[in-house]
Amino acid sequence: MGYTPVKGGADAVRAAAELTRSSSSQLIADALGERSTLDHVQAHLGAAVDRIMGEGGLFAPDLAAVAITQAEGDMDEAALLLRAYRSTLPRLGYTQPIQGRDMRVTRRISAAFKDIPGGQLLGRTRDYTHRLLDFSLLDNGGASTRGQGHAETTVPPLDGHADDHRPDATVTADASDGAGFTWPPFPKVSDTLRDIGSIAPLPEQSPEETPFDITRESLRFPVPRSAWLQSMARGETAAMVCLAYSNLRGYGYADHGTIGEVRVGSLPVKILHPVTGVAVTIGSFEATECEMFGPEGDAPVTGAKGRLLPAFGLSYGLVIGRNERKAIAMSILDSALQAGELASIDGGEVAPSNDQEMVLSHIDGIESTGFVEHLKLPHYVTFGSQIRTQMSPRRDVMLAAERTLAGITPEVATERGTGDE
Amino acid sequence: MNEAVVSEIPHDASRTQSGTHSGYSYAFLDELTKKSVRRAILKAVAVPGYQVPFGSTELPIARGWGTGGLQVTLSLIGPGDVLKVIDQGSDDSVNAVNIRQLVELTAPGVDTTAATEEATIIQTRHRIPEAPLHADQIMVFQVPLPEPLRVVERRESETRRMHAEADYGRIWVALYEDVVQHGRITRSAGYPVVVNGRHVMTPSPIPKWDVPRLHQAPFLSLFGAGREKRIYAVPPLTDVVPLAFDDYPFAIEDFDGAHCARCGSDDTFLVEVPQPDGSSVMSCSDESWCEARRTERGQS
Amino acid sequence: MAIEHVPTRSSFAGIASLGRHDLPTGGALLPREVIRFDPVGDTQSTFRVILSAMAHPGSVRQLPVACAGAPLNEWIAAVLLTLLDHETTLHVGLPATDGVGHPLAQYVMVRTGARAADARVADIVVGTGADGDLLGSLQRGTLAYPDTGASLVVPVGSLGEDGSGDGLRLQISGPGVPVGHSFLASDIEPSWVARRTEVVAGYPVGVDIYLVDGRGRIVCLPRSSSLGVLETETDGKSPSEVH
Repeated sequence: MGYTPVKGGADAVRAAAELTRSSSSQLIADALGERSTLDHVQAHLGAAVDRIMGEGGLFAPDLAAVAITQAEGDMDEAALLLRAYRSTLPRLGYTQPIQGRDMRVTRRISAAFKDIPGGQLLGRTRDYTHRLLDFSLLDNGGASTRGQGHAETTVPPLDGHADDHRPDATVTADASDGAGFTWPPFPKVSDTLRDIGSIAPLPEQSPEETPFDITRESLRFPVPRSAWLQSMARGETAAMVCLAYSNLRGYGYADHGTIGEVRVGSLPVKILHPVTGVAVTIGSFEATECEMFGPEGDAPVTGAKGRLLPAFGLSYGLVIGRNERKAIAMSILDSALQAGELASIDGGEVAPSNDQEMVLSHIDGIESTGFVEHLKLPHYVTFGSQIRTQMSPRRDVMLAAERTLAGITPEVATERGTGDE
Repeated sequence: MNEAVVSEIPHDASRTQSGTHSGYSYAFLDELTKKSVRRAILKAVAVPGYQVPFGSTELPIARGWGTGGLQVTLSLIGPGDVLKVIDQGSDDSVNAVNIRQLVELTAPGVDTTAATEEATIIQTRHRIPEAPLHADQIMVFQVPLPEPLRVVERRESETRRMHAEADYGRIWVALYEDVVQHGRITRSAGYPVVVNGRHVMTPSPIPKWDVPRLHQAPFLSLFGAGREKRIYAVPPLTDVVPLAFDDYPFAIEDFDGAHCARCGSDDTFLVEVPQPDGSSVMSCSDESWCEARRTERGQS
Repeated sequence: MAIEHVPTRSSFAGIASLGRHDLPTGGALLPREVIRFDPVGDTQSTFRVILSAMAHPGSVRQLPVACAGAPLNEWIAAVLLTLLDHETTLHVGLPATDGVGHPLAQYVMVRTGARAADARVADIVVGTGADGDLLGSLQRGTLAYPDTGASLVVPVGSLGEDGSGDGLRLQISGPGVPVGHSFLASDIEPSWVARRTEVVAGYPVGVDIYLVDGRGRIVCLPRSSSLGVLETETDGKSPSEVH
């Protein structure tokens, strides 16, 4: 006769957690036998490791492998694990600014020029492979695909590992390693264009005295460029690709730029020594950098693709790990937001990719997936309120006099109602 | 390797607070984060109903699932506090359980309870408990969308200007159009209110039923939106008045004379529970209140 | 009760600014200093009292822990240690004894990593209840972001609610205040009260004020409150408000 509400929320939460723990480790252990799960992830799922390091905002390949394993390959979940962990780490300070020029390059290409000083270094990439499923992976666990990386590099790999994710323990100031091999210099394509006057020289002083820090302050629109670059650096790859794609297709200023350079490699981490005050390198991390030359920012270009302009604007992408599509998307969006800044001065409507609020509010994967999935939370009170409000209009009005506060119009001062307290 | 160096440093070596989940700060958040949340709370209380932007750190709970309310609670809480956590009025809801467990794990000296009258801090998603609250209690509301004007204006830069200039014409027009279209105001949970005669605020998606409780309340209300990175507040003894018209006044939900199927009350917010035989019963959303009523009436 | 100071996250943040800011090196240089203010527990309990005072303007609250050994006022030091960190700026607008800077400023900055700033831009300012010019010069925030308005901490001799005592009886009203509430505060000038009224007249912009006395009592005056000086009855006239 009476209704008994279902109890047991705490037990349900515990049981659900148990299920996730037991099933993931069980399945993986069975599949791999003696082999360490984390080694497997790092060796064979390197792109996944890099992607979630970039989205979590933390360079830590071992921990990224843990997150991926723990999340059973759910990449958004893994990025959340890493980002949540990152927020618990103590803030020790800020590094010295570094340049893409300082990168120890393992891959470096330019679309703007056929030949560039230092050469087009194709490196390790799937771009020019045939996308044919490799059925040999079903038979012998993938041994046949392992060697491919070596054939494509023109430079001997470091430490004998073609796809080494581990940052170097020491990065020396000069360009040679212990075996007497010297890295060819890889001058920046953008520097070459600056030398011949095709793009503006670097400003004497940074336009912002101190870069914005999105981990300490929330965004107040309009934001400076450092804020949107940081937001995108740890943005969700797919969201950024989506918005960049919309821009290329015409939702926004549409004559797309040209990739001046994409470089992949390791960048040094430098700090000022607390005692001597000298800059020292304390480690390095893998990164992908993209510089794109686009229409000069002050007017939208409607010319044919590839038409050489007398001067170019530069847009920029930089992400942790190897993630070329995100770095390229980032530079497209940087260009779009720079153009958007100028367009908004005229007060016009801008396309989504040109709109700071649209882009920056929606590219954080942790925020977007969390909110989309929060719809699974109970909403029966709000739903019940909506149902009740749709029904019984007559009774609403009748009860109003007895049970509610006096309403107000904008000009009239409020009256004290009969609260429950 | 950078990572190795960092992990050797204790995250918060405050050994006066012993027995915590190893390596984490008291109440999980580091002191820097707590201070920035606390400063935001103080400014929020100084300007009732105004949304203070804050840094909003990530937590081991997904965004949209209560990280704002949790940051507020974790910045307030200390030994001697008694915490109640509810979702839709229920202490037993899985999300409330999860949040309560995080606090239990990381804040020794804090007790948790389902009894409203025992709590010093009540973190809630979308309800105010039915029990009368007193001046020593703090309500912490989880807020999904802190901007009440978002329904009429999608841009933050513009809604900021509207609040700055008290230019609230567009939300009034939206309510007017609601009346014209439907014969009455159909806004339900999360009904917009004017606070201290100045700022329009969303009370979070609480039902209309609970809105009058905020007006000239004896308790402090804090509102945390983690994903949107805003904190706002209503001090006690502050005017909180729903937007409405003289001839179309604010009205709470009407349950058509229904009673709770468990405790029999007809003066609480009820939720509908479909039954296997196709019928449905109504039941108190505030389950601990309902339970107490049943005990009172000798029904347990 | 002495508690060993153990390095906490905020003090590491102090060490490791690594040349970026002109900061003292925070708690790292004083790792074994014995202080009587626990950076975790005492900031939490102090904050709760401050919050209660801010939510009930004009009500006198008792701070729980003094920062023993701090210069000027151990209770004000406790408030500053609770609110400040290396992301905030401080201005101590009190006469310096040696021309270098007020000892309270040094004390607090070393322990929190807060940076010094000019009164017009500082987040948190210490100043007296006679210095209306200082109060008038503080940042008040903007209409869109009133939260950027400054917080002013005012050392006073004594605060009280009932009865008589030193100082002015101040009438207060607004959010959080019961009708007809008043309180006593010494070392506050009527002209300073008038200046405050002018500073908060542009609500929501304004400055929020913390009065702290020598015994650790605190009264908060958010910008949302209206404050006026009540004439006393002792001279036979009826009470009237002076703004």
